[in-house]
Amino acid sequence: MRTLFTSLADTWKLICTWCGDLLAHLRRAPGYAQCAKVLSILMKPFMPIARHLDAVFFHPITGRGFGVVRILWALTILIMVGARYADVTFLYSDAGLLPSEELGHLVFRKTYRFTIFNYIKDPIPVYLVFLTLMCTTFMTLIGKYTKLSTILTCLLLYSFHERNLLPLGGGDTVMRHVGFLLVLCPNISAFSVDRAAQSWKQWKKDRTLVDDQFIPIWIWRLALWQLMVIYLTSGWDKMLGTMWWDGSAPSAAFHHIHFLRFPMEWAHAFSWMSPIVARGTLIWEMMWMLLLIPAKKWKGWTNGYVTHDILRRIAVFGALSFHGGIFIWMEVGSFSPAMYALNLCLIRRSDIEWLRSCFNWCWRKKHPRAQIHLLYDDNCFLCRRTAFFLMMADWLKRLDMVNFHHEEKRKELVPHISFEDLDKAMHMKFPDGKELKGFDAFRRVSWHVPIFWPLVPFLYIPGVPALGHFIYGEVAKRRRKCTDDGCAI
Amino acid sequence: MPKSPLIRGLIIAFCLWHMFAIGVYSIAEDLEEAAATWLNKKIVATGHCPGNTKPGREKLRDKGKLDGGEEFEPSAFEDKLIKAGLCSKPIEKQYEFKKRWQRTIRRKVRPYLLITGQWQRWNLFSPDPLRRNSTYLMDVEVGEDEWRTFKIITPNKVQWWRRAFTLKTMRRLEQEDKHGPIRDRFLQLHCMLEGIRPGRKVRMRKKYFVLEKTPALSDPEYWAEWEPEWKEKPFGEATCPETLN
Repeated sequence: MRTLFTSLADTWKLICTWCGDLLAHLRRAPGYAQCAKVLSILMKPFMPIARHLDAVFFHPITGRGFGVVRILWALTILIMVGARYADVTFLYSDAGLLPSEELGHLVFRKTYRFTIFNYIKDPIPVYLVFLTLMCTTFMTLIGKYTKLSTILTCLLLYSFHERNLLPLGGGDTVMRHVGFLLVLCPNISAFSVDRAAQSWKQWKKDRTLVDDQFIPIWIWRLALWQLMVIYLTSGWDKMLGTMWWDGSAPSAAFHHIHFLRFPMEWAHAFSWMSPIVARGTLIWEMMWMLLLIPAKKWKGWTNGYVTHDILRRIAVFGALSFHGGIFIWMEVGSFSPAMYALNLCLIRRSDIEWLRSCFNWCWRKKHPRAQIHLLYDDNCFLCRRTAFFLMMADWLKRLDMVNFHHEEKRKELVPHISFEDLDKAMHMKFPDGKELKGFDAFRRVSWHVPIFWPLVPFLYIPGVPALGHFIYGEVAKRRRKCTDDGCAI
Repeated sequence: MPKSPLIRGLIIAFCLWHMFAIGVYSIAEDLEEAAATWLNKKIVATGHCPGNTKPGREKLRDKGKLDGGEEFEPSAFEDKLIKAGLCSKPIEKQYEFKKRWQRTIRRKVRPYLLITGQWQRWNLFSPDPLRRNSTYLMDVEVGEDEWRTFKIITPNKVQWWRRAFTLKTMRRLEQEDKHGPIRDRFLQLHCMLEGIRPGRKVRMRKKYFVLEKTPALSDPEYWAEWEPEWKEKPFGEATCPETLN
C-alpha cells in the first residue's frame, strides 16, 4: 500500500513538473516574445480590471482553515459513510436494490455520469472499493500523502453517490462540495502528518517550526460563494411557502417522526420557540446577502464600526449555532457536520488570532508578556521529541522551550536549580514564579495546551498523580535509550 | 502562489465560471417560481390560470375577487419584466420561459456541474417542511386475503447509524411513482432475507399521518390535545421469486 501511494504521489509530482516544463518550453518558443508584446498592447485597456481581479483572487490567506476542514470532512465520511458498512451490498452492488442493467435507468442520469461501479458490480469487489474509500479517508484525516488521498477519497465518494442516488441527502451534496474545494485548494496539509514530519525535520535542524502556510484567497471565495448560494436560495425557497412566515415550520420539522431525536413530548414542550426559530432562520439566511457588499463600502458606511470580518463572524456563528441546533434536535444524517466543515472553510488568520486572544484574555491580563519556560534536555531524543510536540500543540502561544544545556539561559531562569536536578526531570517555571517538575509540571501545563484539556479532570483523580509520578520516573530513567530509530525502554 | 499571469488569469476565469455555474443552476427554478408567485395575484384575478393553487389565489378567492374578470394592467416595471420574458400574462407563457431558460443558460452549465458532482438544489424543509409522517410495513399473504406483517420500518426499529439513509431511501420509494419496479425489487430482496417461500405474495404499506398546516403548531396547548390521525395505504406488491439476479 505504501509503495502504491508513493508511486502515485511521484506520478502526481511528475505531471506537475511536466506542466511546468511545458510552460517553460512555450516561453522559449520562437515568436513567444512578439506574441506576448502584441497581447500586452491589446490587453492594456483591460489592465486595471485585471489588476483588480488579481488582487481580489490572489491575496494570500492562512491555509489552516482548510486543514481543519480536511479533518472534519474526512471524519464525517468515516463516520457517516462508514455507518453503511452493513448495507454496502444492498445499496451499491448489482445483487442489491438497484441492479444497474435492469433498474438503473429509473435512477441514473443518462448523461455526464461517472462512477467506478459501471465496471465493478459484484458484491465482493464493491465491498473492497468501500474498504479502499475508508482507507483513503483515514489517510486524508491524518494527512498522510494528503493531496493524493484527498483526491482519491473524493473520486470514490462521487462514485458511491452516483451509483445510488436514493439514499442521498443534503449532507451528501455538501460533502461533495467540500471535497471538490479540498481537491482544488493549493495546500491542505495544515495539521497533517506530512506537515508534522516537515516540521520535525526543521526542528531537528534549528529548533524552530515551519512557518504558517499561505494559500491564495480564490479558494476561500469559492467556499464563501457556495455558502451564499446554499443559504440564499434556501432562504428564498422558504419565503415562497407559508409555514416559515407564520412560524410553524420549525415545529412541524421537529415533530417529524423521521427526524426526531427526543421523545415527542419534548417537541410539544418546546413548540413555543418555533416562531422565534423560523424568523431567526429567515433573517440569518438572507443576511448572507450582505457579504456581497465589498469590505471597503461596509467600512465607509458604518464608519468602521462594522467590518466585513465582523459580519462574516456573525454569519458563521449563526451557521454554527443553527446547524448545532439541528444536530442536537434532528436526525438528518451528515448534514450538520458537513455544513460545519463548509463553514469552517471561511476561517481567516484574523479569526484564529481573535479566538486565541479570547482564550488568552484572562492569562494576558495577569501576565501581559510572560511565558511558561520549559527546561528540557536537548541531548536526549525523547525530550527533544516531547518539546517538539508541546511546541506544535502550543496553540495559545504560552510556552517557551529552553535547552538547559544553554548555560546562560539556565542561570538567568533557574540559577538555584542544579544541573543534576534538571537532568533528572523536565522542569517548568511559571510566570507567578512557581517551579514544578515531572508529572506535576505536566499536569499544570496541560491547562495551557488545548489538546490536553479533555485529560485535565482525569489527572486530578486520586491515585492518578501517584501513577503519573511512577510512570514519569520510569520513563525519565530510561529516556537516554531512545534514538532517532526508536526506544529501547 | 502561481506567478505566471497566464495561470493566474486561467484560475480567475475558472473561479468566475464556477461561481456563475452553481449560481445559475441553483437559482434557476427559484427565479421561475419567484416570477410566478410575484405576479400570481394579478394573473389569477384575470382568470387566466385555472387550477393554480398558489397562496395568492387562495387569498383572492377569499376576497371574492377571483371571478371578477378585471383585466390585468401591468405597471411599467411589470411590463418590462414581461417583455424580458421573466413572466407573462397567460400562465402558460411562464413555462415557455422555463423551457427557454433550460435550453440556454442552464443547459450550458449542466455538463460541468454534473461531471464535477457540483449539482445542487437547496429546497430543504422548504417552501414548507414535510408534514406527512410515514412508517412502513411489509406483509406476507398467509391465506385468502389474510396478511401477516413480517417487517416494520420505523425510526425506532432502525439502528441510529442507519436511520438517516434508510428512511431517506424509503421516502424516495414512497414518493415517486416511477420507482414501482424498485419497490418490487425491495420486496423481493426481503423475501430472500426473511426466507419467505417462493410464489407467496408480499406487499408494502405505509401508515401515515399528516400534520395540519396551521400556525397553531407553535402553540404547546394545541399539542396537548393533538392526536395523530393514522391512515393506511398500500404502495407496492410483489410475488416472492425462486431466485434473484
